[in-house]
Amino acid sequence: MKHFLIFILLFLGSAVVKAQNKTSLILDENGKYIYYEMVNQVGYTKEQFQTNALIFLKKEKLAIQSKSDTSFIASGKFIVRNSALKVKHPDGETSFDLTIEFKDNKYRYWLTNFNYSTYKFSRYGYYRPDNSLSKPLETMPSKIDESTWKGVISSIETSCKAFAERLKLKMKDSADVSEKRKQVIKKDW
Amino acid sequence: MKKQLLTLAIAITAVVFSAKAQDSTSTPLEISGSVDAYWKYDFAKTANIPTSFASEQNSLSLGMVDVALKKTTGKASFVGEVSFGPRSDASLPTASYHIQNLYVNYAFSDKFSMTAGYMGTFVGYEVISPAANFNYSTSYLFTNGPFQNAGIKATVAFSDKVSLMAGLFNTTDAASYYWNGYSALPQFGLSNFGAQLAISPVKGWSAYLNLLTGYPAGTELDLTTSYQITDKFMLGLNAADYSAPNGGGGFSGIALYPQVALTDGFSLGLRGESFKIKKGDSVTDFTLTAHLKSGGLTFIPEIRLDNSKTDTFGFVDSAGAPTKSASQFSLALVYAF
Repeated sequence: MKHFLIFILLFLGSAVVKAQNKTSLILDENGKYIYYEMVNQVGYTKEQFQTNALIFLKKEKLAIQSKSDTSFIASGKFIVRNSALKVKHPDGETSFDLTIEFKDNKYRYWLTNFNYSTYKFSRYGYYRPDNSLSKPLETMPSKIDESTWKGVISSIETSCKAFAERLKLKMKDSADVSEKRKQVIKKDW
Repeated sequence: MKKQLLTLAIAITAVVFSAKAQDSTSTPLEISGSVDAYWKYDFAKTANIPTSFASEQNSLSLGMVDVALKKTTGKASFVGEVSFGPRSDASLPTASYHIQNLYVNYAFSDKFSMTAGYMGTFVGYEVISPAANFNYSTSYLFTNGPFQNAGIKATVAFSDKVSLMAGLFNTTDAASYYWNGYSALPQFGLSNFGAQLAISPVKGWSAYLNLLTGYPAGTELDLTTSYQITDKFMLGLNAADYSAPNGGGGFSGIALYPQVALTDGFSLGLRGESFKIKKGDSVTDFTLTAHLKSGGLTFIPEIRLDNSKTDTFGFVDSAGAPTKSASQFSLALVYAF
């Protein structure tokens, strides 16, 4: 029984530590939603980060607003599905701005300026933008009730996390290994 | 006919040759749709207003169950939408087919796409699905315009603010007003021409100038626009003119749709319409509609007053005698998913 309790405490403790390390969509000091993370990645130069980030932005079809040797600012959008069901139609979309800053051995990025617009069922048999004005994520649109709005924010947070995982994976590419394919050399065995 | 074959050949060839450029982007299967039911009371004690759907008097009646599927794989997508119920039957040229939309789309680029199949019409403000309309009853402009078109169309986006669609559509039989049907009359084929110029001058404002023309279908010119002026106030407008061939009459009309969101789940909308049958009578109608929303459910109380210029339009009073006016009250439930 004692071992079981110790196991439970260790498990809960590790879960708390793990939860603290998770990045989430939170309000910044100006009351704006932000998804922020700094990543230490020893052995990489800022030029490598810059190259990887450019490839990533192109692949994700983000529009670059400005770029310098040490940072990029780009804009994009997420489709919002207010449900965990995979077959759910989109409920709306949110635009966002992404900033990535690089130094040797580390980089940081953040997503902010989220603006949400709703979708509506259309004559063509699917949900599409309903011509309503987009609203900052900090302000609940008048057409949406509170529980739905919480679902929207949760969906955007999930999209941010998935986006961040893709970004971090791409930023791990290095010029030395990414272009090479493993070869089988049969004579050396 | 040669032109139609050439268009189809170019479209098919382009699809085949650009297939290699397909990317791996795909979306999950999307399922959406709605169910609806209503109770309506016409103050003449008989169904009196001749616009589409919701025609049963003093009865808790069914609308339709409508289910749509959409899937995108790379640059290709399809939509299939089927419906069942009285509203479905009244909206389709062949009720037993149950198909509202069945088409495939191929996006050659972000700026150019082509679509082929059976599609909800691009003409007009109101639509068949109750989930996509604000008013539960429908306008005379909607009732007398096209509902669907089968054919092939190409859309070019010149910018985020301007796009142009042009297409060739089936000329169908007389029972489907020569444009709603599933299949073309062989002697005419895809001889209806349609085009839509879409403009979005500012955020929240969209305008569509539509043309559908052919023989013997006739020509309809339509302007549909809506402007979300503030977060709470939207103004829509629909104006149309239809001319049948050989001076065979037609109609013209205009409708305004102001809507205001009063609280999170409560909105009010008015439809004011003026509709004239060429060489015939004219009618003016006002419809006040409320939306009470809770999740996917919308409860829609509505009152409607119609007034015609003469008593030959078709309205009757409670004694069954011709009259110039008609009025009705309805309660509708629409659940969209």
